[in-house]
Amino acid sequence: MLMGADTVVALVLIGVSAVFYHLSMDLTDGGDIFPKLLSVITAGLSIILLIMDIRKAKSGQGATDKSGGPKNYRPYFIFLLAVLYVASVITIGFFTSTVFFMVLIMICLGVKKIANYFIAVACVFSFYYFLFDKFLHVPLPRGLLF
Amino acid sequence: MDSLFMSVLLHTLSFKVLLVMVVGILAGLLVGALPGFQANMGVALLLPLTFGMSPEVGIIMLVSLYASAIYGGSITAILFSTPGTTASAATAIEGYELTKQGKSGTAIRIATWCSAIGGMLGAFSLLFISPPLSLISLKFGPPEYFLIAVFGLITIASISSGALLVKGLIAGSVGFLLSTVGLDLDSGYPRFIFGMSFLASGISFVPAVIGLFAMSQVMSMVEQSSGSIGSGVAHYDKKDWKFLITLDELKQVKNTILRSLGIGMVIGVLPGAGADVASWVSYHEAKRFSKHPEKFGKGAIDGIAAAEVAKNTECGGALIPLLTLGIPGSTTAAILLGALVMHGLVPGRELFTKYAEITYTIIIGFILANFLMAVVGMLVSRHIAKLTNLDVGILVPIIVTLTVIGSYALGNNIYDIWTMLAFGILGYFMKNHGYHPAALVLGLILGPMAEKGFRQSLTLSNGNLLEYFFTRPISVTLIILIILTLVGPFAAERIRKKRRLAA
Repeated sequence: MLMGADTVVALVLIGVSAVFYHLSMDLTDGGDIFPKLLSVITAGLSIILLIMDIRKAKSGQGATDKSGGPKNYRPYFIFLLAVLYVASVITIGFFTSTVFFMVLIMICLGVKKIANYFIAVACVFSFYYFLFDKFLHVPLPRGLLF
Repeated sequence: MDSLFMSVLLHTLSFKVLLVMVVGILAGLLVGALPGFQANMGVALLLPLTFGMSPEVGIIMLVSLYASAIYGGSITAILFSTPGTTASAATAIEGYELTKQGKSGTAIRIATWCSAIGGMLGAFSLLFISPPLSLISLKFGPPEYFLIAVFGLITIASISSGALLVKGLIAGSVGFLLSTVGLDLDSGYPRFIFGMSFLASGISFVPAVIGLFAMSQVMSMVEQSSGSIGSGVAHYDKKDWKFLITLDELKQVKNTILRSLGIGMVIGVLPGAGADVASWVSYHEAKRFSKHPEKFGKGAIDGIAAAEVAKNTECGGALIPLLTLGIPGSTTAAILLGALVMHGLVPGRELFTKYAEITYTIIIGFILANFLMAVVGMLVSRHIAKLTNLDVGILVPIIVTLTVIGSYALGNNIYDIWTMLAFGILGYFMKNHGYHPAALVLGLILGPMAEKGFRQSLTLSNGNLLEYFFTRPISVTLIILIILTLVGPFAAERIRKKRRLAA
């Protein structure tokens, strides 16, 4: 039987609460009270959610949320690109990675005008460089390049 | 007294003071509008620049930035559902719905002028009622701080999740649980860090907020596959754009404004509660008192007015315990305390006697800054509104790079960016399955305050916690409010069902 999203969430949270409760038992006196209390509350609320979802499924109304997952996988693809971007910031450097990332995302999202690429990249690069590097002196990751 | 008043007025209206006020306002709007840049960060960055200025000039610049940063977060909240500051999350709910209906001008107009009204009246309160109002905060003890954190969280859970209160409570509870990650404040013992040293200082809530709201919103924008926010939502409509709030709009929201002023003031006076709590409590109360609560979540201007008035009133309120007792009412006020000390001003009675001219110049300057903030805000936000016609393909990479640099710039810590990404995917999942990120965020922010209050209450009560809570009138009041908030949605649903059956 295919489980609804709420059922999966409830089961995961019950598991997470159990883990947190178990780990709290090794904490010092005083430091364990609040995590234990919250683990119990989270597990209790998750059980209520689980019961609600099972009841709805049994009464034939289906899963509690019909909105469900995404309409396509583009969000996850963009998220993956963002992860690669952050990884490259550390190795290549912030400014170089930002330029490559912006161009790649704009290509993936179908930006057609070449002028938009130059304007967007130039504006963003200048803004970050002058505000963070020159004015605020935030030490942005340099990496192998810049 | 008259000569003091004239002297203060002339000084406040001098070119130098007006110039630094405008600089502070523009800096604040920029800081507030950018996701990840909080008011406290803006004030901290500008603080060293005030060293060479006279005390009143320097502090006027900082308080101007403070007020406009709190307001500035609403602009991106309304236009892109990306709150620039955590306090603007409530505005994002109603404001973005109005943007989708082509009424971004209305939303920004209401937000701007309500912020100005809240800010100016908060500043007037600072002027006239600082001493007596600050006495209330002295009566708050550990039980009250614990209960106000719980009340704030339950309020948000019930607003953000509507009938699905249990989902909101789950999100809030998870937020509270995540706030326990890091070193225990009392014993210094690491909790739930799993050997990862960067977690020793806990989960930083600013990257978490950026991820939960901004990053997840980017993913939602991409999912819609539209050419621009405008084409998938609504284009920026010139006819909707008016500089001043209309009389009709003012009549609609006048009761909300009056109620929110009181809420913002009381919460502002409470140290640590902050603009976030003020905006959410006010939003919840506006929905509760509204004749059309079903409009909330679909672009109710009352919702925007409530959140904006309360959070900007809170700014003035937060300065009351700061100036009278030296207790900052918010994290930004804590940095302002540093500014006062840097300029040789000690909070307390002396500020209003020996340094009266400086103090009243700052307060009058703060009042004027809130008005100027509205003027500058309306001039600037119109151009930011045009961004809604920008191609999503251009906006997405800009916002993603902003979230990355915003997360990194706070602590120069690469792990904050990973935290932002983790909460980004979590926020996207939460939005798609009916769990509002706001409850989780508030759990993260209020968790330490709640835990401290709870543990201290346990110690002070010698194990008789319930008796200890129920013998304190303010605690009892808060407990009643918590129960009403929990039971309210079910009772309301039951009444609605009965009416439907009767009809």
